[in-house]
Amino acid sequence: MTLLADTARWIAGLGILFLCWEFAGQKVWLGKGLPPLTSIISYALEPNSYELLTRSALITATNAIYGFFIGSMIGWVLACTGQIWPLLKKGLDTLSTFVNAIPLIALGPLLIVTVGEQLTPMATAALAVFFTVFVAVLGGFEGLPNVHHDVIHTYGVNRWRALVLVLIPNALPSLIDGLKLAASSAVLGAILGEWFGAQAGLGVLIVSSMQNFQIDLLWSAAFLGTAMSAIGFLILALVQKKLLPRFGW
Amino acid sequence: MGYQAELNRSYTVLNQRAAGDPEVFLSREEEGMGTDKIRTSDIVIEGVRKRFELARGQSIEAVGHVDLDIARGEFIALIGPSGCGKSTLLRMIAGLEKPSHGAISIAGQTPEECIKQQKLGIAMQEHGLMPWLTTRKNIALPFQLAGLPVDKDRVDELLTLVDLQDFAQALPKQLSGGMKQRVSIARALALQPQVLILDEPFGALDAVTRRLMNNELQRIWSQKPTTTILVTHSVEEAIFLADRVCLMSPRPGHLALIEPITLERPRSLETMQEQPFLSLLAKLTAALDEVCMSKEGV
Repeated sequence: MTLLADTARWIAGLGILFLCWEFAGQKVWLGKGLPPLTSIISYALEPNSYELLTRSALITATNAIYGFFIGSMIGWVLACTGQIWPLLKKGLDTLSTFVNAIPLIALGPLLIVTVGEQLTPMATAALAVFFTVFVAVLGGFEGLPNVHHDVIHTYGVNRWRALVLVLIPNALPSLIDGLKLAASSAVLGAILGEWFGAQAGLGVLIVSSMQNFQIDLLWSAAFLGTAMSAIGFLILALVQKKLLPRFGW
Repeated sequence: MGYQAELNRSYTVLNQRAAGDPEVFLSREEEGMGTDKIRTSDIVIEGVRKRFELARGQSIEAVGHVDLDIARGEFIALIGPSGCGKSTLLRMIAGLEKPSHGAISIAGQTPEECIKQQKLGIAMQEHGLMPWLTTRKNIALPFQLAGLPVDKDRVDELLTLVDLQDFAQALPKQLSGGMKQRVSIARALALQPQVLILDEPFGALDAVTRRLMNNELQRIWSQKPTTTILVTHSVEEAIFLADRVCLMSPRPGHLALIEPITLERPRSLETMQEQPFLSLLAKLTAALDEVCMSKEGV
């Protein structure tokens, strides 16, 4: 009943938003930059634009997914490394914070000349993801209750066993929270990477449609990017809902 | 000042035990336990102090000078006002804190050496069960943490001991508070520790469950008397379970009184209604009140 009521509220909220948008677009209240919603949808469903949008979305999704996995692995491995070798922890924390502090926009051209334009979207997606996952895993490790530390200590456990048997399972909820946020960051990172000179992808479409004032195409690409982020977030929210209770959370 | 006389008498008993006077252990002998086993000092605490460093160069002395010998198979209860250093002393015995002065030896080894050999078992007020593990896996965890193959028979034995066979596959969130503490105690016993360390294991339970758990702990302990040190705020619990009750003074905590409990074992919930128990309860409660009211301790 609650789920039904929640869904109804969501639909009603979105419906009102879309109606207002449609009305504002029809009346051209916000200029030509905000076309009616129906105009964007009908444009996106035209065979040519539909083919262009799906092909671009697929490329961006591929970049985002690869970037998501690579970035997650890097974040995960760095956090675990700091836990196994505490001497490295401070250095890794500083390095990660430093890398995260550099704006992607500044790193983009450097990536183009180092990894090449084809891999740049993947690299920017990975860079956008790794810090979120790193912080989430680290938060999970550091959130281990004192009593669990005492249990670990009492059995004279080595760091590897502590990591595998206690720290990683304990960090699972925090990791999934981090991954949920990272899913959106991956899409954003991939689109940003495509801006720097990729051959195709939603980022390329957004830049070219903006320069050529193809407003319907611009909005369609933006919608697809947003939908991709939302889908990633929802998949991980579902994983969180289904998986965590099985692990006692 | 009757407490000074009590203190002297308690220390006399303590010294007699340390000297191995068999009469001091008469009640335990009558229960059929080997005298050689009981006479051996399992834990020797010598001149232990603990000072914690605070910010801006300040420090605080949590535990004053503590000397205590604990015999093998003996059940010791530490009571005292809040913040008197009971848990700190316990944590030092468990090797979770290092004494600032003095030494602790467990069967001739340091607590750190005992930890390496998995000779200690620990259960706290917070049960510390891993929420992602079932009862069975939580009990088996010490084997895995120690890098040993899981002894399934031992896990089954412990499940039976704490009467949780039917909940072997349950997750901690599906267990009641009392059940969680039973699992925690079973886990502490998993590797057959030489010393069992209990820091207010029933502190978070309601009064009725707590009494039942005291009875359970006594039953579990009686099946294989392991050297046990229990920190508790409940004088009743301390008398019911222990062979000796050690009363600590306010911070910096030191032993203000050591009271041998000669009530016959096995003790039952009815024991708590009998006169010898009530007399001890009145005496120790009064002693606790007195040390609580004295800023300098006794």
